Amino acid sequence: MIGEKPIIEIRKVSKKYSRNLVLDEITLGIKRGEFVILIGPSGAGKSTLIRLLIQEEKPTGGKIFVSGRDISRLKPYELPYYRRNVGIVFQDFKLLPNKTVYENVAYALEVSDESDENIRKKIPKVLEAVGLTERSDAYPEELSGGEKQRVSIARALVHNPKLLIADEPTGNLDPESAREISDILEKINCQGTIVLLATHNKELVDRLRKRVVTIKKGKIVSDMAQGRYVCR
Amino acid sequence: MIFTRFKRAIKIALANFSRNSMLAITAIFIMTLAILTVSIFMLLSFSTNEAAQKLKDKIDITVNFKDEASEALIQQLKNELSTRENFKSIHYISKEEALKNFQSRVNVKKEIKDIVNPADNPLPRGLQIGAVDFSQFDFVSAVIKKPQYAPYIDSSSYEDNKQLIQNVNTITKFIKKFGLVLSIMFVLISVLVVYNTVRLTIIFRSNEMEIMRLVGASTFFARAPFLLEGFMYGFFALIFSQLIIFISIKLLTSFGSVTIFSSLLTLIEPIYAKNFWLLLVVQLIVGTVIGVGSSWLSIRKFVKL
Repeated sequence: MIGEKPIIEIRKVSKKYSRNLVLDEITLGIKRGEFVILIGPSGAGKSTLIRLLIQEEKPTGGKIFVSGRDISRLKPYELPYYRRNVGIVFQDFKLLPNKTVYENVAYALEVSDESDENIRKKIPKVLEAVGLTERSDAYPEELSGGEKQRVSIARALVHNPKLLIADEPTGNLDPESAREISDILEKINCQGTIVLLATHNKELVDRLRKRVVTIKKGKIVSDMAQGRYVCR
Repeated sequence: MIFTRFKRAIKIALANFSRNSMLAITAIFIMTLAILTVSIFMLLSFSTNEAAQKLKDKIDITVNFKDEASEALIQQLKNELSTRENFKSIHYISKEEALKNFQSRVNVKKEIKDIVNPADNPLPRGLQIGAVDFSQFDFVSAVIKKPQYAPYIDSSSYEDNKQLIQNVNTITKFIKKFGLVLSIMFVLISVLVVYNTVRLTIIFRSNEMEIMRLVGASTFFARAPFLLEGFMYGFFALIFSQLIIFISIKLLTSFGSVTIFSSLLTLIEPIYAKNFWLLLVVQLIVGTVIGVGSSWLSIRKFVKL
């Protein structure tokens, strides 16, 4: 993979909120099949970088290329198609409480114009991948934290994204569930999806032994191929 | 696929609708008021127009001549008035005809009729002008006031009729203006209410909207349910206003002549029947414009993609 062009290329990206500079000319490349862990203290700019990657916000300066395309120049009608290529998982799961596991995952396909037939085909597969086949009729309130996060991962995977972003996915979970989630993320990565994981979980970082990028005060302070969580 | 998309969007819209039922009822209530105001204004406007038209058709101007007026002068006046195209008819009434008309009147006592006879006929000769339009009245007035005619003219029904028609015109204009102002007011209030109702629905659904955004929901799904919701408000408001108008007319006519509205109602009922489809189309347009239009404004402002 040495010399290969990165799929995600963040070039001198800055983000400013009024006078507050949150990201300061960050440059980062992520290649096909990589698993990148983003660490750093709260307020370092990890979540802002993620918001820029999913185009919830636009950078103040610099450019972000995904598969060679400058995503800050996407037209509004192109955004949904872009987002279907980027799965996202949050700490607070963001599930619809009045829908079952199956319906929560199906919802992502329904609102993306997928046919009923395709929905029926895809969902069992994705639920199996996260080990939730048996729980497909349960409502979110009947699930444990780990199970909820697995539903959220299933929903993120259902479009077969090139990139899966997980923002503090284990923040609300016990260590056992956190390990389950990290195993699932590794499995997804093994199947070819780029995983970008932002986390505070030291144990998770040390266990995964993947590329670790540390952000501090809006700058990348270290980028290690097989990093460990370093307390500074 | 289009069918599936609509089925899904309708499902979401119905869920929104039932989840915020009190808000939905308020929006429908206000929109019903708006549609009712527009409809009543239309019906009243049609009715007074028709009443005015009937009145104008009935009103003729009669110009009576003094006995010293020559036949040639009367003929000259008739010719001058005939230059106007819009006069339906100008009829010369000779003394004999005037007498015949007088004798045939039923509301005149026989003793009085007996006084007037062919030998001693005081009835004047006249020109009966059937005016088409109120604006023609002033032309007639201008002609008969000319110096060559004025000394020979005994009387004309011009002034009395002018006053009557002016009154009718004033009422018609007032109803139109008042109705228009009231309609615009209610339409604007409804737009605001629906705008805010949809805005609240969007806020209530902010969690779902965020998920929609993240999973790459199409623009159609982010917007269509709200537009459908607005359309549903308009649709229900249309049904309610039609029902209210229909029931009101039926109820009021069943009371017969005891109400002061009865004479107006006898006019409105056939007009309602005659203009039913036009009214329905206008109601549908008003309902859709308020419902869908206000939702659209709300979506544009509050739905972030």
